Amino acid sequence: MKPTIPSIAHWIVLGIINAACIFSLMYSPSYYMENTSYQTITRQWLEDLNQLNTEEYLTIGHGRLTQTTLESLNGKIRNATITADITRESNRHVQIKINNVKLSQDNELFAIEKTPDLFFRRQFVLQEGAVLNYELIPTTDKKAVCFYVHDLGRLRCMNH
Amino acid sequence: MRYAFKLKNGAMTLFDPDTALLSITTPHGDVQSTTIGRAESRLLDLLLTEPGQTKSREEIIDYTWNDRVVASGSLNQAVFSLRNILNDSRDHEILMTVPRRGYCFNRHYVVDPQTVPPASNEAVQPSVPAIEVLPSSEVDEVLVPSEKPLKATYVKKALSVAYVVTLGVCAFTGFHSGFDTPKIEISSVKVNELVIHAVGNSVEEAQSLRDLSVKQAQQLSPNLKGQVWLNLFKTNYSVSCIRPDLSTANLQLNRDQKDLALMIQQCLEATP
Repeated sequence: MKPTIPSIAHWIVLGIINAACIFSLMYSPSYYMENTSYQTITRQWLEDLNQLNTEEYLTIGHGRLTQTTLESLNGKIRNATITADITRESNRHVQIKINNVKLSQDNELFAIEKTPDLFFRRQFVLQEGAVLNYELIPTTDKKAVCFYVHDLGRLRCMNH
Repeated sequence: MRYAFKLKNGAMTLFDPDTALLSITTPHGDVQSTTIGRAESRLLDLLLTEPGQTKSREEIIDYTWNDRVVASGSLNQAVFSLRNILNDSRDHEILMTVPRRGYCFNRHYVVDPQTVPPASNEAVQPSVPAIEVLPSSEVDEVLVPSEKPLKATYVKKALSVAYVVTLGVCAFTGFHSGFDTPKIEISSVKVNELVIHAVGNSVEEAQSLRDLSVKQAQQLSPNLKGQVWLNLFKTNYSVSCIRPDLSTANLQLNRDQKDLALMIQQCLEATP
């Protein structure tokens, strides 16, 4: 048995596998632009039919995600900034771990206890160490990004 | 004293008569260690002390069984067994029979133990080469084939490292691709200039929401343009939209509060 011929075949196969892996790593177009500030407005109708308006800003880049939310209700304003480390990332998925939460005030603008589902989701997302899984949704233009946060059941579209 | 010799398939063999351990290194670098029987060990020891010299049956029996009285069949059995171990049972090239005289070990198969690959002789202490009797020209002659298994060993080790690295690269790629993350399903439909994407955790869920939205969309103005994503999470609708000017808006409310059609319209028309 001549070891050189099979070893050459081994090296070729290994080379192809490695090249394919590296290529897929290098060429994984994201559905968002890095270090670009996306923004959007959101309207949420509460149980008492009051309308909670929010402005949201999102930046992803350099392994970090920063999201700022300004919410207003009946003239009162509150803002929250969440920074998170990206723990896993692919072209369609971003997993983050929240490492810092800043609130302008602790008090909610509305009686959140009347909407327990929203209350628990906020408890979760405002907790340092919480892990959230974002799934990016393809859009026709990179200036707009849409995503679904699995852990919160939250759908968002934001634009640059 | 330890002895080294090669086999007919190119394997290198180290023999330690003190422990009766026979270590065979194949040309591919695999090491097979076997402890052979006492009789076979003594027989091999005696023949390797003077390779190429014929030892008589009496001399062998005396040395192998230490003056114990054994039948001549015992020697035949030991020779047979040893040849099997050395893969020499067919042509007796290594352990040669000298008609009417006895047996001898073919000295052309004997090599210097220090030239054997380290993997196979790691237990071997530095010692005086076993074959002092070999002329230097013969030692040189047997050195050349001994490099083959050494090279094969290095190639095999390099390949093993390459496989481990490749496994790591593949694992990293798989980890990076997010193959095990949860996935949503999207079912889309175009209504006039409006594209509606229903988002669900399963295809059925997405299609069901899409069908509902199509019914509702019939109430909408045909002039509405843009893209809308819909999701139903528990009892709450989420409507996210991208308008023709690429601005975006999102609405959230309980499904009992408003019609889906009205939400879609408000999303596409909402102003900051």
